[in-house]
Amino acid sequence: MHGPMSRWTKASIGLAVALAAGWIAHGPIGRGAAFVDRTEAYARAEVAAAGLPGVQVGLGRDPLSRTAFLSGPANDFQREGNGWEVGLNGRVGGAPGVAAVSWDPAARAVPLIAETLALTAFFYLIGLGVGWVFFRPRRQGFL
Amino acid sequence: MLSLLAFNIVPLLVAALIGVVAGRWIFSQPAAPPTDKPAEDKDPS
Repeated sequence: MHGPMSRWTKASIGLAVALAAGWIAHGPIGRGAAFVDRTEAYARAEVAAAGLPGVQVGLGRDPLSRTAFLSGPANDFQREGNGWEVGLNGRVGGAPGVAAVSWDPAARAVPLIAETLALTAFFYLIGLGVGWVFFRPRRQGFL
Repeated sequence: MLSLLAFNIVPLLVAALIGVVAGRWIFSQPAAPPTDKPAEDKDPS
């Protein structure tokens, strides 16, 4: 009937389970939205510290992303800064968790779920390597 | 990326644990079928 499953099939099943766990944490459990909320709070604090009235910042929500979208009245100097003073882009871009800054609301952003699943797959592979170290077939000693 | 990693460390460790379990499933040797002949009973007489 059916032969034994190949290693690749088993590894693919394990990867699917790990990615499903990553997606559950991101979506249904709400870790993704919580991360974006926290990162957005950091970005807003940076904008408030810059003291420019009317400038607002929000992170990508549809889909969730780590790109900070700025809007409001700010000239190039206020946006980019100069050699001595950091502009809004630098301030917000330096906030923990922010990956990119854009003034274009239609700009493309890397979805947070893609980054989360990439990290999940990376950690799964690390675990697989640990499993190989401890459970690989070993040669019989000659003594 | 590091802050994302730190924020999601628990689910990422779960993924690593799934990897370890999968590694055990994949790499552990199946139980070898018995190949030795059964020991013959000696005739006590």
